[in-house]
Amino acid sequence: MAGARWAQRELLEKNPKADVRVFAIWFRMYPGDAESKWPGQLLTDARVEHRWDEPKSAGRWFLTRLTSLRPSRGGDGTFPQQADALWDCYLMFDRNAVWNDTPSGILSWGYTVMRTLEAWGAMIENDTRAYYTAGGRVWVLDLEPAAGKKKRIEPKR
Amino acid sequence: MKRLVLVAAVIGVLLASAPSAQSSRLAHLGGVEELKSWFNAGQGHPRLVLLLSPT
Repeated sequence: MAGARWAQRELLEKNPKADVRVFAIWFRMYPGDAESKWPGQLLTDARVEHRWDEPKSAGRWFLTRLTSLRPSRGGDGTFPQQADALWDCYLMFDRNAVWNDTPSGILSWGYTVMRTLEAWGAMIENDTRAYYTAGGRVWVLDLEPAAGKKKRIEPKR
Repeated sequence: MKRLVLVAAVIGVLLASAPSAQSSRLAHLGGVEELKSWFNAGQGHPRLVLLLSPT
């Protein structure tokens, strides 16, 4: 829940015009978890879609395909939990990403949301640009609307 | 008075049987295929997928 709260306050509220789309998938991981305990008041931004995933299908799917997600330039990219599904994680994708067999264009992913996305989010400059460091270089993530755009990610100059 | 009690009882039953506003807003995921559809429909936008538990 801390991750959802952080995403709402620090990522979305502070960047109201950022052209990002968010899909929040909720499922049971702790014994007390239940759909009725979904904290709908935490992540209320209109750019977010929520789903309840009772069989953990998305978390299970990503857990078995972590090694095939490319490229990943940021985040810690580790999931130390012995669990049956990837959870308390974020996965950030470039605007050109396409999902055929697996989704392409992953920029970074990490566990926990709070720890790793906070590090990523701290580099958001404004509504239109974010920076992150990977492979010894600083990269720009273009958050502006896509109309007429060609370059999506470019090394920071 | 009886009518008032009856109305109150009916309202009480309706409120008790109605799903909460919170749960009615949370749609169920139609499997990974729905996520894939959302993902591909969002081309042109950076996309963030969050995998979360409610507690």
